Amino acid sequence: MAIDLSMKILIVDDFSTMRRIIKNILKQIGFANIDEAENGEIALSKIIDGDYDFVISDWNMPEMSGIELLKKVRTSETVKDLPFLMVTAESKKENVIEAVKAGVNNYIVKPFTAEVLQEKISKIFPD
Amino acid sequence: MDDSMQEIVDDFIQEALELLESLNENFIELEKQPDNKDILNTIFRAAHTIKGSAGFLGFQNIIELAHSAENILNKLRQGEMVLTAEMTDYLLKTMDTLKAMIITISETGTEGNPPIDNTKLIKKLNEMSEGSDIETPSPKEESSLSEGEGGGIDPACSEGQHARLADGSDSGKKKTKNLGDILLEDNLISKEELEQIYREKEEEERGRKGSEEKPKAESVDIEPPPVTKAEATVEECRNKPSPVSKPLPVVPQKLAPVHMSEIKETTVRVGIERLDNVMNLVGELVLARNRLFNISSKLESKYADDDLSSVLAQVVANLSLVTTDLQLAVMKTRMQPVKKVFSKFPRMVRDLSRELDKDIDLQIFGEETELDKSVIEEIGDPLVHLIRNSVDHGIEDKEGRIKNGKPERGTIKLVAEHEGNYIIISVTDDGGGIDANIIKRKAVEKGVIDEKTAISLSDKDALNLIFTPGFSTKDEATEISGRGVGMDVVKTNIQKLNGIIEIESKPGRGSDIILKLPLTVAIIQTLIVGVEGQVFAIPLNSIVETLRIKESTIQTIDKHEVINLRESVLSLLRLGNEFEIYENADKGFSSYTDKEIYVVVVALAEKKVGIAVDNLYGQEEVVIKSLGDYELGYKGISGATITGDGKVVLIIDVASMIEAVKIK
Repeated sequence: MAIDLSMKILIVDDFSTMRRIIKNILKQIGFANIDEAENGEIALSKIIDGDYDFVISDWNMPEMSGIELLKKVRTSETVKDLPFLMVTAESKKENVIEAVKAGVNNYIVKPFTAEVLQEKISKIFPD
Repeated sequence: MDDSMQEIVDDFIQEALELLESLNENFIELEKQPDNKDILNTIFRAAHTIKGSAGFLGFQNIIELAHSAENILNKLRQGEMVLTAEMTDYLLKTMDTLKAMIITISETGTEGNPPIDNTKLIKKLNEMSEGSDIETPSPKEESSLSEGEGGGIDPACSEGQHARLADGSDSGKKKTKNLGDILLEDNLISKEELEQIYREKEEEERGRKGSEEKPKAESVDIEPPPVTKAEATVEECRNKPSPVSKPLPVVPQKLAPVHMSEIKETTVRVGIERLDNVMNLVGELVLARNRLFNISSKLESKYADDDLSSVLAQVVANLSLVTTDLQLAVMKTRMQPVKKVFSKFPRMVRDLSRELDKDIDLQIFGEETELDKSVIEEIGDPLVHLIRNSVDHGIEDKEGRIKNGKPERGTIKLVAEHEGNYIIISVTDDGGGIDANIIKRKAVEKGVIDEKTAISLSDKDALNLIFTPGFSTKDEATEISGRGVGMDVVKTNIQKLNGIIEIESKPGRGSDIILKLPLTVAIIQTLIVGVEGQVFAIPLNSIVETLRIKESTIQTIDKHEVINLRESVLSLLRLGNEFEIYENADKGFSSYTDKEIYVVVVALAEKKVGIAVDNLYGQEEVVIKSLGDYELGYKGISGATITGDGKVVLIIDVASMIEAVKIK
């Protein structure tokens, strides 16, 4: 599975430890172009200006949740097709359904390994 | 553990502790409004976040405990349960335990064994979140759709699928799949179900305009689809046009437009050692500036006619201004709001008043006031002590208050405010106050003062007696205020920070304890003194007064030199002897002459000592430099500095000076 390792990725999480963990895992996979945002507002403005190829966002965040962020992205003219991986702690049916409806590209359950993340990403970007 | 892992763990420790610390006030607020969903959500999210990161780092104890707390909090925030005082107690205990676990990690590097009562706590939490519905605390064990990941991919089908299923809206760009495609591909959902989800989505979007009737997501049956055989799937893939292949319905106009606002990250986390380093460098700069200033003014008087010297003076004045500004700016980067310390008090007062069955309202003002980090770290313990005192000794019990015609609920005010280069922190209660006469009587009983002194003592001076070591007005020290650590320790701690503590009290009306603290501890005002040509600096805040006496007025009691200061005896300490500067070590005892010497009277927690010196040179603001690893053998020095004239000057440690006299 050839994932494009030069993709510009944005990690969105309010907890800086989580951002670091995810960044670390992404680096393990081989990604290098990684940026972070600590909340939905910042993420949104970065996404709009930033020419990102891929977003990994936490679902459960204060103020603006990952789903709310995604919905805003999907309504934008320029970035509406930006691939979105949602990080969540649970995969209850209703949550998954909500994610499908919101236009999530894939989701991943915490905690995860580099292998699982890689697989989740490669599913979004088929060869 | 490699470096990057260690960094992440360090990050986790710091961030999780900050998060837990911030929860205390949420809990206090929650008790006032137990059904406030926002607060419950915040607390839930904290447990959730900690569990999530701990999961990555493999801290199993934390995961288990946080999971149990998360369960109960989830029920609370969804209104399935109502918060009770008992639950609050246990949840608070959970937060404390989590904190303790994290601290263990930071100290030992590993999680070690869980605290002894951990299992009990988890059990209790699970019981409270309904005995019937106990989830096992394994983060992996979610009844989830993700289990089939990696197993159920059908290569034959998926190839055919993503050609068509990929979002068709942007044919030019890289193709990506969405969750619906992937679930379908992994056989975690049937096409029919997915279709229904998309139908619902469209309905919901239409419904948002008019009808409020929303189809419930839960109604969808999302069991693994009946069609699992490869052929069948392939068959489906090939023959039927996939209903999902249409582009995802996009809803442009209905949601709020995307703001193009320029919100950037506005803060940077910087290690404290970097700030310390900058502060140190600025300290060096201040010293160099003082020195330059000194030289320049000498040059100016020496070459008054030379233009160059006045130009130099101007440049130095400008440099001086900039240096002062820089010093202030750097100090500001080290400032933290006192909230950092204050935030733990509502919880503490809550716990104590529950224990003592008192009703106490803690009102906090000015928690945004900022103080140097090093000061913040040091005022925590003294404040804990003062507030405990107010809760325990200050505020009367409910009956007592009613009898005294006061409202049943007592009030403690904790206020922080700026006053010039100082910050004033006061703890005020409307309790029983302190009776100066009782203080006097106790002091006499304990032999702190004699009867005669007691009678002549003003009320204000009498109140200050509570700062005397070992003084406690309650006959039995209670569990809360504890025994041993008294107000004298509080005063000593405050003085170590170059601060001042004052007390005011009216019997029956309450007490007011006021702390006056400098904004920073790195720069202090000192009195520069000289002994036999050697120069020392004494911190100004511990100096009570300076005297000029004739050596012949010194008396000797038990080989101790003393002087008579306004009818009381003051021990004298000769700096020259103390630091063995005098050529003749016995000088102090043998040659009483009419020569005049200076005595600097210093005090720490009601203990006074006179320090005998030869000269007083004046007041100077100095930057304290630590002596680092130098072993001094004598503890009378707290640091060193460089004065404007370039001399290295040792700064006297008043506390150990007083200690030295006591030992003798």
